[in-house]
Amino acid sequence: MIRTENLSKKFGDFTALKDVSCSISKGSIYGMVGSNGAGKSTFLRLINGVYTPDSGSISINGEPVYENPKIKEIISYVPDTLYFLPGASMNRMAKLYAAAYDKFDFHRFETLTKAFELNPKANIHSFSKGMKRQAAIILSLSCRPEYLFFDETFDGLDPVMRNLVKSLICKDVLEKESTAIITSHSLRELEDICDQLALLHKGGLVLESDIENLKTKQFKVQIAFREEYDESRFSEIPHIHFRKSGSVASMIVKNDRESTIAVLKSMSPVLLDILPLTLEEVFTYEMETLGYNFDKVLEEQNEK
Amino acid sequence: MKNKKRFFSKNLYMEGLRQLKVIGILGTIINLIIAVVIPIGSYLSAKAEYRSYINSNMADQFTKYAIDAVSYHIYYLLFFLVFAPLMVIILFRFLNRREDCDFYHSLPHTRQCLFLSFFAAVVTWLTVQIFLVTAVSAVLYQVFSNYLVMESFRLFYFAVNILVTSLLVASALLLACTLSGNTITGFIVFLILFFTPRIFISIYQTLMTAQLDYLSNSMNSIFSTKHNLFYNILQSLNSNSLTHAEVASINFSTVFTLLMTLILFIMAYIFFSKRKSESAENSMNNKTLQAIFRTIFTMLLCMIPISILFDYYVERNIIFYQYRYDNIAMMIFYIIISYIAVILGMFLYELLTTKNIKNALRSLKSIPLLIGLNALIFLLLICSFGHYRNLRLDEEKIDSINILSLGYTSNYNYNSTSYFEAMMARYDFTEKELISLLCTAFNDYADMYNDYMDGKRETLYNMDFSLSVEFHGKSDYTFYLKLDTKTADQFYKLLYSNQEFYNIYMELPELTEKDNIYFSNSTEISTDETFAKELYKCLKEELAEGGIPPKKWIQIVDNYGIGYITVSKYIDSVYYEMRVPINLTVPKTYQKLLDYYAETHGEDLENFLDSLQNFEETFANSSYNESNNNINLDITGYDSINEISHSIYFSTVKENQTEYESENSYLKKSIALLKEYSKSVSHMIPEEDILIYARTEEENYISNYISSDSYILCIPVKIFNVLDTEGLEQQIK
Repeated sequence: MIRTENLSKKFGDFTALKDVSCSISKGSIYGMVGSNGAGKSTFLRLINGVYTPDSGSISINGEPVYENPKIKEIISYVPDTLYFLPGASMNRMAKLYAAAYDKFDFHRFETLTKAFELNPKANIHSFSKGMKRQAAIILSLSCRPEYLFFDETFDGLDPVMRNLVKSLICKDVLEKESTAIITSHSLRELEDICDQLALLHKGGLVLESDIENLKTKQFKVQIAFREEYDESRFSEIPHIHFRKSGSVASMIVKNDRESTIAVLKSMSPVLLDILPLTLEEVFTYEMETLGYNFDKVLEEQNEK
Repeated sequence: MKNKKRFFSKNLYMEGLRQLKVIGILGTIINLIIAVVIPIGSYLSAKAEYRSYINSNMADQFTKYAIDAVSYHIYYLLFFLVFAPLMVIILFRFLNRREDCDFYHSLPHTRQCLFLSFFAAVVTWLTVQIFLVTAVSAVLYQVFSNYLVMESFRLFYFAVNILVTSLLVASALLLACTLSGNTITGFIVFLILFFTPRIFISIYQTLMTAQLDYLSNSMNSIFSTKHNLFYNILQSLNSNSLTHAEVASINFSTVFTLLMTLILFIMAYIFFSKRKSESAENSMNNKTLQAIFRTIFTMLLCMIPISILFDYYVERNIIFYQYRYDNIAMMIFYIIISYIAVILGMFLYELLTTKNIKNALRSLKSIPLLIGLNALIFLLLICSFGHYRNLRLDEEKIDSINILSLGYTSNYNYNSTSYFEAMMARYDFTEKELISLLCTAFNDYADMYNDYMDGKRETLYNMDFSLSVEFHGKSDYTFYLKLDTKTADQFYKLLYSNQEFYNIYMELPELTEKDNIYFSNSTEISTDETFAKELYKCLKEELAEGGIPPKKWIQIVDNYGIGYITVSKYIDSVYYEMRVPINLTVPKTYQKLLDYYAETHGEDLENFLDSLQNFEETFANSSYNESNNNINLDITGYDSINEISHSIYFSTVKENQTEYESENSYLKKSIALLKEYSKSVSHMIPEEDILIYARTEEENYISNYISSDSYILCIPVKIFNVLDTEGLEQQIK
């Protein structure tokens, strides 16, 4: 169980994280999305004990992380910028990891190296960007951690490798009840693997929810009436977005689906469609309510 | 697990060793090659020399090569100048890169554990390198002990000191890396940490000793460079065996340097433990440290205008320097220019280290602080100067003195390896009268100096007798003393009444196997070590018999003689040089020397005359254009009663015929004069006791070819008196 309370971190005048409180249960995969500079990497470094928070607290299994080897032993962290010893091969890096992690599993290391078809004797610096990331993931998973932290891990991986990594993470979570935190710019990378999703924006945690909850508690309604109407007609239905085009109105409703349908039907509409939302749409609308045009950001990321 | 990884991890330590493997092995190989090549080279050289001795039937005169542990292992400097810094940089460079730093701090170890385990790896590699090389070197010198002599324990002591120095450098560099976040700042911080204290101390000492000429350079300070192995080892490169012995001994400097290392190490440990990972790639850990180091750097620059101001302040009343300060406006101009340069330096420092113009501009806000610090340092200098200026010795509080050097000049060599001077410096004089005299002399001189500085007198008395004295009491002081003639006489009177002082000069030390001895003179007469030892034994016995007035002997030591015995006396790993003249002050030894000359090099009269004639003929027949020949005749007679020596040195250069004729007549006159002289003294002493010592020499300078030949004539006066030079004289005519 990872718990943070009012976590704040500043770098000079820049506030990287501000009052972030969250709770990540054991055996779950926690996705964290946010734009550049939102604080995702800082959050991971904090809960990994690399940084010490300016205020607030972090605990894993009820214990602080910073300068606590006992807890750090069960954490494995793949940062966005990878570190390898100069001129090192994967075998050499495995020795470094084994020196640091008591539970480093050489057998698993060999198995994964074969699975990813990497040459463990080759100089890592001769690897492509994606291969380097695979190497880091292999080394990390070979530590047999209880907590896996991946920062922008899927960047640079081809779809096949991406799925392989995802399946490995899921396997660890399912079989050993490991906990994984994965950060990404892209919601699409996370929606098929994460149990929980959080949205960081300008250092603050603006949204945190179960994926299922996000998908079922919000839905899109398209409705039309013969007579003239406006948004006030739906005042008793909690919604976050309303748009009317001609006689057809569309809105994002945050409410129980069945009760909402019952209310709307009682209004005798000529058209009533209930549409599910993609995660991207959910986040877009959530961000819009916060005054942030998340749509553009997502579009940019997807283009990349 | 928690405790296991809190302070030290064996696995992490092994990882550190692995990361240093390349530099460790490379360094070991390089040093091992040198460690093997030098002894073998020395062995081959000594062996070749030994063979040449055998070929000359002089095998018994061969002396083994004395290997000085420091001189022959000067490459050990590589350990602390190259390998120690490189190892620290390799293992701790992650501190300067954000992602590397994050990686190491994400590992399941505390910062303390990471620091200690990695530093232990550095220490291990350095220890292995140094002592492996030392062991190989010591074994090789032992194997070659038939030709080479070296005290192995000295080499191991030197190795220990090298290790301590390497750790000092490593700790300082590690502290600099810990405090800073990028390479440039790290380098600057290292320089500041390592050298600034020494620079400040040196500036302070220079300012004080330049103004008060009775203060010794070391000022009896614990901060003397002698105590810091880093400086002492570097100084030993260009120093005498005394410094070599110091750095090849476990002594106070080892402890002092170890203490410095420990302080730096603990500081590095504390700062590393508290260092934030995000400090990497920043200039310094935090703004305060950045400000502190910037201020230290700036204050270093400030010492230039402060020194100008200080000199002006203390010299402003000295009449002799009045001309220098006539133009105050010029001095103020220099000071203003200096301070502008200081501000510019500070600005550039901040710009270079933080790479941020805003920070550089912001640093200008610290100018008021700098003004305050400048004023404080200036005040401290003035106070310190006032303290030394008003310092007077209370003879009641002085228990003993050591006379470090005696002389008529102020050239004082603190590291003197003169045997007599060194032995004298070791002796504690406790005679109250002597202490009182020197205290009074110091106080009088200090008073006079004060008057001079206050402009109450124009000049200082010209007191050309000086000595360097250590005063021991509750506090210890070392001063250069300047004595007037009257005080100097009193001083010597007291000194000569001290039996111990006499014994230093009159009781020559026994020679041991490690000592070297040789005899030298101004002729081509060669003597072997056996004869030198015999002569030394004779001299030692003659001095011990007590027939020679000690005062006279002390005065002639190092003075003129017809030959000199030079002894390198080995005491506590130091070779002290003793050079004593052989002259009529020690008549028995003198006689022994002349007997030896006569016995081994005395030629019969005819041979001498023939050789003289040959020279003349050669000279007369050589043409002006072909050669430019010299004929030298050096004839010396000694009058043992009046202790006077008479020398006639004849030399001719054939530059033109007129001069040649002139020189010929001078030759005749010279011989005649010598004959007259020997006749005049022969009635006073038995004839057989006087020897004429003559030497002829020819040098030919033809086509850059130089040849010389010489004949030594040692004949009793009675033979010389009947010397018929008529034939020769006729030939010359």
